[in-house]
Amino acid sequence: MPSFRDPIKSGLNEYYGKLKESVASLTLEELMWQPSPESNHILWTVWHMARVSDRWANSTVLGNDELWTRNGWAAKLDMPEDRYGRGETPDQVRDFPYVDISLILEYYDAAHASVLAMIDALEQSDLDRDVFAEYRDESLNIGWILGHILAEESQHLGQVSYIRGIQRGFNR
Amino acid sequence: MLASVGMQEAKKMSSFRDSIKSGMSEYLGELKKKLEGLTEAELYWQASLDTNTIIWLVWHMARVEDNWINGVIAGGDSVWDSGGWTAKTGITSEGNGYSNTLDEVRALPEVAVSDLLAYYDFVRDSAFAVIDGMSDDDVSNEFSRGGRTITLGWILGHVIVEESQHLGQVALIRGIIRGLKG
Repeated sequence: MPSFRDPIKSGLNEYYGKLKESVASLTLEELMWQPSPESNHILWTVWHMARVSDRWANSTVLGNDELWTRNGWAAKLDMPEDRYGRGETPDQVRDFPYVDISLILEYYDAAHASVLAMIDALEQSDLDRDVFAEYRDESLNIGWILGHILAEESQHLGQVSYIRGIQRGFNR
Repeated sequence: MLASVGMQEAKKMSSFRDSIKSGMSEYLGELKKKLEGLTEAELYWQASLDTNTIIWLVWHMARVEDNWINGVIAGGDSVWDSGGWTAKTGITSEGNGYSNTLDEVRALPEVAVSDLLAYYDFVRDSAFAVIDGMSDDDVSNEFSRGGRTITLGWILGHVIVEESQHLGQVALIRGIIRGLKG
């Protein structure tokens, strides 16, 4: 049965596939290059995107522990369990650890799959339910969160591809 | 604890269709915020010789939504054509900007960003009317584009992804020019 749930999942798969293309073959230097002292670099952005998917799906909507802690990703990447990226200073972005992007993408694969599974499990009647997002100190509607995940992650994808474009040139 | 009325417009969603419209409202609302106070020089600034300007991105975003939803899905004229926006803006490019060369990006005529946003608002009104008029079954309707078959559901997801990507680029360019607090 077709439904408007389909476009949301299709969009999530589209942005995630494009992200993989946008980071393919980038060197660590390119991944950590900042177009200006206060701009984020690609590696930080991809890590933050993975954290965003994980937190919205597993913590905020489902009320469980994040995969970041539950499955040991913080330890594997040697990063703090509460590090998320929102509101970080340029110093924190610059000092981001030199982690292997394939490890971040492995974590992201799991986080992305958890978003899709969360959406599959939602009933229409869940959509107008509010959940409290502690780190934002606000209650948010699950229906709003679905549109927001797609918009937020895609914005960051656009930044990744643009930063790649500044370094490599048009469509390269 | 009271819910803060921040990014969420205190609106209740009762369907996945509402989530899609909410995502669309979010990127257009954020775009308007990111454009506030920008000078003409900032709007036409390029981060490198191979990158798009903010003004081009705004025009392209509006045209993309117009073409996909009012053109392809609704099967009618774009708002650009029916509303006479070529004459109103002086932009004579017939396409939506897809695969424009960098010379074409640089050649975008001087246009007021407020005119582009006025056009975008008309596009949006029409797009929401189209989306409201669709049934669940319509989501699997197929369209042929550029030699491949896509569904209406794919188009809706794609519109949010593509438009939000461009919003993220507008925000990044603004940040490169103005810094974090700009």
